[in-house]
Amino acid sequence: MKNRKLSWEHIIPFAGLVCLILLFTVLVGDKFWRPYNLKSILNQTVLYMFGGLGLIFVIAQGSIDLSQGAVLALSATISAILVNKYGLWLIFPSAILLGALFGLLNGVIISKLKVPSVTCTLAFSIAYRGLLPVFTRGGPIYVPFKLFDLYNFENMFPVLVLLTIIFGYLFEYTKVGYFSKAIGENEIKARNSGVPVEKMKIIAYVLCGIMAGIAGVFTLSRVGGVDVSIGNFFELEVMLAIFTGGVPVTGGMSTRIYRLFIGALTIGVLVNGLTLYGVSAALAEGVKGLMLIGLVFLAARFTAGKRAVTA
Amino acid sequence: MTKSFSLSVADVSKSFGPTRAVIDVSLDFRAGEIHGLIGENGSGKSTLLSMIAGIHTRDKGQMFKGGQPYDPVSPAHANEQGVSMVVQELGLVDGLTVAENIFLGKTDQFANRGVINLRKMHRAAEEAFAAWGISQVPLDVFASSLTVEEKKLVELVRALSTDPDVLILDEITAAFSHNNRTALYKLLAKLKAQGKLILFVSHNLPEALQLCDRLTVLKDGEKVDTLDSKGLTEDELKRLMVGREIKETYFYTPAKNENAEPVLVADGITVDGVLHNVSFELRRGEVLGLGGLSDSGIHELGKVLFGLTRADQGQVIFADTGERIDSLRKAINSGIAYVPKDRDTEALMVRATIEDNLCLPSVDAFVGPLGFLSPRKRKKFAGEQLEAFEIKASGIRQAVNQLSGGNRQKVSLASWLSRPNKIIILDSPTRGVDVGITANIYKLIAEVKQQGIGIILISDELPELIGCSDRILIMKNGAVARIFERAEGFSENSIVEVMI
Amino acid sequence: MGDTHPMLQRFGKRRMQQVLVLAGLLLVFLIIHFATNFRFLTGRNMGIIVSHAVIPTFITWGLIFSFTSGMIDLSIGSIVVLASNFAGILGLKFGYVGLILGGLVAGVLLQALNGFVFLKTKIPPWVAGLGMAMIYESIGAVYSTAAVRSGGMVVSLGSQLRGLGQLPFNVLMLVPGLIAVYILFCRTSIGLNVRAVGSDLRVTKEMGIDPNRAKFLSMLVCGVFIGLGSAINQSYVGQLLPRTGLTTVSTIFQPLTAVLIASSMGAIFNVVIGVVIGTISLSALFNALTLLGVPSGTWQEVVLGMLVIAVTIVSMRGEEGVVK
Repeated sequence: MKNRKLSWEHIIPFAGLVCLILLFTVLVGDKFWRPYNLKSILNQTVLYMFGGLGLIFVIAQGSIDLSQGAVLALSATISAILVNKYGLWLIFPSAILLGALFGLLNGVIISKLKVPSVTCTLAFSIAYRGLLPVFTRGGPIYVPFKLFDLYNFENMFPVLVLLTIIFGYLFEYTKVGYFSKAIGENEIKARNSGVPVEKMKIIAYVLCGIMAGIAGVFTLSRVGGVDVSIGNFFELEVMLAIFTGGVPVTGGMSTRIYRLFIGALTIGVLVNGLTLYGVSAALAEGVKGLMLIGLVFLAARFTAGKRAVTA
Repeated sequence: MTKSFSLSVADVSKSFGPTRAVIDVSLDFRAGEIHGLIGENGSGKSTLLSMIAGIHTRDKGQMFKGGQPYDPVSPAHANEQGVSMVVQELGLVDGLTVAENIFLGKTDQFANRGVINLRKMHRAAEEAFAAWGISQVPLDVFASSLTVEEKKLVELVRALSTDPDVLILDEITAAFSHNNRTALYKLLAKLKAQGKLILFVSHNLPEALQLCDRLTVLKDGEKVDTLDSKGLTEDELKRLMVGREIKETYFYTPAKNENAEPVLVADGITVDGVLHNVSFELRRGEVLGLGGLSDSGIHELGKVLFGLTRADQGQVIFADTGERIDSLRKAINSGIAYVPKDRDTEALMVRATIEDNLCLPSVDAFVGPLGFLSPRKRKKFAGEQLEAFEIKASGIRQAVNQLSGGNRQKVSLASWLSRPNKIIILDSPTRGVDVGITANIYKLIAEVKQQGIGIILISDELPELIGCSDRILIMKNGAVARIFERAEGFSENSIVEVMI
Repeated sequence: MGDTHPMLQRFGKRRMQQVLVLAGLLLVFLIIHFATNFRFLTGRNMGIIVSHAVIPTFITWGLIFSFTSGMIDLSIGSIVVLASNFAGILGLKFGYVGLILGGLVAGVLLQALNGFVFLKTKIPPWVAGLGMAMIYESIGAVYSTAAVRSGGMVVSLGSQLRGLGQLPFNVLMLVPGLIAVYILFCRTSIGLNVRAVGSDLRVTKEMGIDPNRAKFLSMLVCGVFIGLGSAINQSYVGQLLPRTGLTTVSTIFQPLTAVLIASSMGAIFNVVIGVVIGTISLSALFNALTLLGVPSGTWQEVVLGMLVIAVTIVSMRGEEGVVK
């Protein structure tokens, strides 16, 4: 009985992905399986995975970062301005540094000043988006054509592999990941066991910001520039990917990197399939909302153990 | 002569996990009496009363009120049937005003088309205070701004506001000043004259003897006797409370070196309102027991020693380095371990596996180059500890919340004892643990002691302290009352005397 | 021991603090008045400030019912959009009665649905609120596309029914609103029970109150005020275009800040009054920023975000427990 529950928890995300693929094979047929389409699913998914590699540390701790999209937007915008001024080489260093800085700010306020992560990151999200027009000055900012080449699967895949190795190692095989999961399980126990809770929270938000910065660079490359809507919704897609993979909202030891990948693929397939089937973006938002509630509910039901999910 | 019992319980039992809090207790209470319940901490008084007040439901047995079966499912339900209780812990909602607290859940009586008439409610509250001769507390301030004594007065008025036939007071006088005590005694006499039943718990024996008509002594969840208080002496009562043969098996071994040097020195620790000028030394290789009543501050002291609570004055010194322990980090780095009382919420990650729980405090031992946390080393370590501490589980991958309370406690202890410690602070290590595992834990304590580690054992159970400790420090009202040495011979009587 | 009754002492102290807070506020206003070349404390400008505060005030009054029991509902903005449009549709058919009734019905029904989802699924309210916001935004967008497809637009009041949202009627609405929210929050068992649940769950349960029932009822009351706010909003703006991409989520910010301000002054002012002080202060702040040449939509958003964080930091001061 107990073991069966454990296995359900592992099976559901995979089964969901397979069902979704089957569903869209039936609904839209060929169009779904065309190599061009598959590639575009993967391209879109890679961005979620970038974001998720950072966010998963925060979620493992039982907190949340709703500012990832805004951080992506602001760091991409400032980087685009800098790149136009000083040269293309600056793109990654500046995006990563800015992302880290915004993450640091989140981490310090949440851990040291005890502001709930939902409130803090939502507030920063609004504030950063308020800053965007200040930088764009009304019009879009374009980036050098050279950057456009970055956004294709052949370039992104090696980066993804490299980052997965680094972040996967950090998350699954070092104290940073282990402590983060312990904080999600029981912050008091973690603290009593000598886990530097505040430091870990700051690290998690910095990682989250760095990945938002990197995802920002690739978004720049895809769009070719910046306008105020850049990165809209990004944090939710990433969150949805992680929860869809079966990670509980409360985080903890059952948070695993592979779940992010399953979840991101599921969301990628869903968004793509709905678009191909002719569902409008607005309606797709509703479907995602339903999925968010449904999946978080299911993940809480099927997680090992029976701790009630509370706010 | 036929007596009408206003309330009776028959063969009532209640267990919390493996702990049998109340065992087959039968009692008849008469209308128009003040009935005292006397016993040590953990003797089952509060649990018995909670069942009567509908806070807990009994496992077994029957209760009758006015000859009818009486089965309250909630305190509100008990209230409807004329039973009110003032519980030992604080029972007011901080975010409501005093008047709102008194009538919470019963405001319909003041409502006109759903709108509560505040004036009516305040008048009713004022009348209640006046009618019962209780000194008035401001009615429109938030309960959070009241003192503990005022809060207790409000709880008393709330309990009385339903005009109950049975009033249960669990250690209410401890918080009262002299004049409020006198007022309470008068009030109780008046209620008694009206033919009501009052169930009264107090640790103050002279008070209980003077106030109560009859006294029931409980011990380890069982009823010892019910006696008329007339002609009864304090000494007789104490003998009934404590006179027991020690049933559990203790594994006491004398400390290796009676006059070992201290490993931890507490010097004048004061936490405003909780601890007052507490000083003592913990020696290498000894078990220092900390005992006292529920408000004595023993649990709070444990937290101060581990750097969890900051002392307002005084200091804790780790003798090996002379370092002052004023933060959690320093405590852990100095080799102090702390096993908290609240096991599931503070000491364990209950949803996680046994392996993760065992490894967390020792995590530095598994770190290799590049910060690599070897899963193989962790697994091996967890497997070894599982065996060494005889934890009954299907394997290290089992989730802790699937284990029994005793095995959970073993996991908690093992996670700390398996790392190099200098000092171990154990807060109520056998709480909610069955007899077999309790014995196991005592054996562990004795073994750890032999390694020269200083142990502080905080416990509400006197027999446990007597069975395990080299010295026992008894606290009262946040201050050190007395330190007993094993050499003098521990006597339960003399310890209880200091404690109460 | 002083001679005065302790009750009198406490009462007097409270009055004193109330005067101090209001005097402080007036002082700040005077400073702004000078800084803006005497354009701030004019009758007309005051009218604008209070007008802008009306709708957030109603939303905030609603929010105290759900926020008190620990639920931050991020879907409130999307509910306002739907309820406003529904109010507009009914308003065009049945006049002011339809306008107000439409807002009320939509507000209460959607909050009831939220309450059901929050309490039944037991998932953290902020996650559930985000999910519901996405669903409601999607419904709004579907309505909007349907309206466009049939050759029109989302409902627009044109020049009809605009009185409720203008001076003096919008400000006059504050009076019955204040009385109603005061009675509901402070003088009925609905408000009493939900305040009790939010403050101490254990004791409240022991007093025989069903926490889920209390929370659900308070969500319904929240719906009433959000619905009223939506009706006034529709009358104020005339036409409200549904937005997607979770842009409605930021609607909660001003009310949330006001609730935090109100509850941090809880010992000085009744929270219902505190809310009004909070929303008017915020409205005055943004007004002053505009007068000082700070553009809305950019730096003002930044100020709002920082303000939320600052107020939260203050209200979390001395918090010992675990905060996620």
